[in-house]
Amino acid sequence: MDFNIVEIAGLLLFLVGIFGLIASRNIIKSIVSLSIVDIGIITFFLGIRYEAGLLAPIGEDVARAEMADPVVQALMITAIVIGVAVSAVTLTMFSGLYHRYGSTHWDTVLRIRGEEQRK
Amino acid sequence: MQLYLLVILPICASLLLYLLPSRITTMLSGFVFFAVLCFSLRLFWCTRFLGEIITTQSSESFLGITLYCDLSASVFLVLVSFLFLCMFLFTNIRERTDKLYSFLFTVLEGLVLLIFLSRDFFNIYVAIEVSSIVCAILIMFEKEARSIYDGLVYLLVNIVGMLFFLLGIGMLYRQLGVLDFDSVIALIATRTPRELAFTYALLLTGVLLKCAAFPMYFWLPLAHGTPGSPTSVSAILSGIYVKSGVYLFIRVVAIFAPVIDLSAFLFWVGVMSALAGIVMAICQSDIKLILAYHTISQIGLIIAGLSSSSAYVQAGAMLHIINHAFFKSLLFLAAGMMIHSYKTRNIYKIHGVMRTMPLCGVAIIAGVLGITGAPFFNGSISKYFLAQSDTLVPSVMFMLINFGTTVSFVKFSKVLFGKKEDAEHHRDFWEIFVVLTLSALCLLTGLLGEPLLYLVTGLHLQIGVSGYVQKILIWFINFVLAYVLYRHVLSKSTRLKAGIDFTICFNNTIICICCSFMALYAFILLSIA
Repeated sequence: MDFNIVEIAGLLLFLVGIFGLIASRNIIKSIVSLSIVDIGIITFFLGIRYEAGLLAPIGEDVARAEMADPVVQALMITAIVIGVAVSAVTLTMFSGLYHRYGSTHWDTVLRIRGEEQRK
Repeated sequence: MQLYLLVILPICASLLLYLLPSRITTMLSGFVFFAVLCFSLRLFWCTRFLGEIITTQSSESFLGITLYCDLSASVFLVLVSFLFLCMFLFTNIRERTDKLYSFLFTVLEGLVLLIFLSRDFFNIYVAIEVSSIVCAILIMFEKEARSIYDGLVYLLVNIVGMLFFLLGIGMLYRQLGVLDFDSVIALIATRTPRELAFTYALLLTGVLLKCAAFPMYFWLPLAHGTPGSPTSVSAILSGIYVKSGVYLFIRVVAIFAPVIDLSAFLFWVGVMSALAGIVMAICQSDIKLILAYHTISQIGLIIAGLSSSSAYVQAGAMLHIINHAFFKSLLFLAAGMMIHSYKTRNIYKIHGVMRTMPLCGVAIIAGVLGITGAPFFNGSISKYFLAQSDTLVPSVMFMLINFGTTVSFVKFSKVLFGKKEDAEHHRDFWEIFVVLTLSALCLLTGLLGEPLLYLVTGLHLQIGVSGYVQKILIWFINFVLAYVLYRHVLSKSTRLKAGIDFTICFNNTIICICCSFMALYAFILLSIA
């Protein structure tokens, strides 16, 4: 498998995001890392069959041969929308959680939850 | 056209439910759930008896969103629409008239139906992702602090899993240039296993996370056993929603089977999650968590059965999917009724359900007999087929799993007996009606197990008198051993009475997912080397 530069960038962003999810104990940073993973995958998709000089598949005066793959672009619009929705919902849930537990740290939140469960 | 209608009808109706006054909408939503059930029964009739395969694909083009319904999809459709109708009837008036609740609940039905009708990878990704968001909001519906945490972790972990799946889809598209199942099946044979190994590992990580397989199950007890979510939501999540992962598992493994055969590995993944689920279920004192951990073990059993080579065992696994949907949603509903009456979730504080709430007690007995595989109940038929293996090791493993299930349900059924307690008991006609219908179905699908199997799979399998005698003997020995073990060993432990907490930190869950991905990739490389 030989990847082009865009795909490699996408995969690197994916790994950066996964590292953030593993290493960061802050809930907001986890949500941001998730967005980075999402963006990495979108970049990877857009790099599929990409060659320098291809045109965007918009309008009628673009010849088929010099057009970038329209399928991945159509798919990624959906993926971007879902990514935004996920960020919005998780951040809303986090703000609700913060009002009740008063912490942004995964371990602290888990500890308070465990104490509540034992009651 | 009718397939589009099946998805669009609940989604459009849910918008109306949100806008119209609630006096009108209770009738409307009941009508919608009933109409969807009738539609899916008609689809089942067409695919099973007229042999049609209904699809919206008009031309030979590979691209575009197509919906597709064959026999196995239509079985799932009937199951989904039936259980959604049951849960709608079960929900009490206060929740039914809550606009947000009825909106989300109806949308969820459309999305779950879309998962089973989809025929290409990206469509399935979208349906699962959106339905995860809807489920997360339903989990934290009561806005209790613990439930918000559970919903957040559920959503984040599932999204991470689905992003692995999405990267797998990207790799697949990069290699094959197509995404719908038929053309992927046609083109996949032209690739070498080594080229597809990375793609398969990514896709399988997402799918196994959705099935809550062994090292990636930590989100499931949080989501299904959370204290704040409405009873019907827990029942839907455990009874039906988790089956969407199993359905995806069946499809993805079948697509890749000609190139990479992982059945031996997946069998052990199933057995490991079944055993882990049972051990953790025995250690719980919370009634909903016991049931949630049992979902892990039963899904593991189904995965192990589906990965077997024998047609008998695979048919048993298919039947077990249906049976599990019935008895697990029944047990969750009964547990919800008990929690509502006794105002506690601790299993050691609930006594005498048989005297206080006799009808609920009957439902629990039916569910417990079903899940432990007692004679004449539905679990017995599917577990009999699951244990029909030619080699020794799978049979022993199935026996062991069955024994563990029996032990923890001996503990569970302790709530039935004991002195009567003055718990306040609201007798609601529809609640009783739904749990009794489901109990009757547990019994009926057991008595008519062979015809049912013929109906849903087209396979004609016989059990025979010796099989029945063997089944009854095995169940009886199992039950006696489990009772002795529980009575004389497990019930003495004070540590178990307090309940052991298995939840781990979010970061560790992500580490588990990454490790499982690497393990999967390593096993795939080893198996093709």
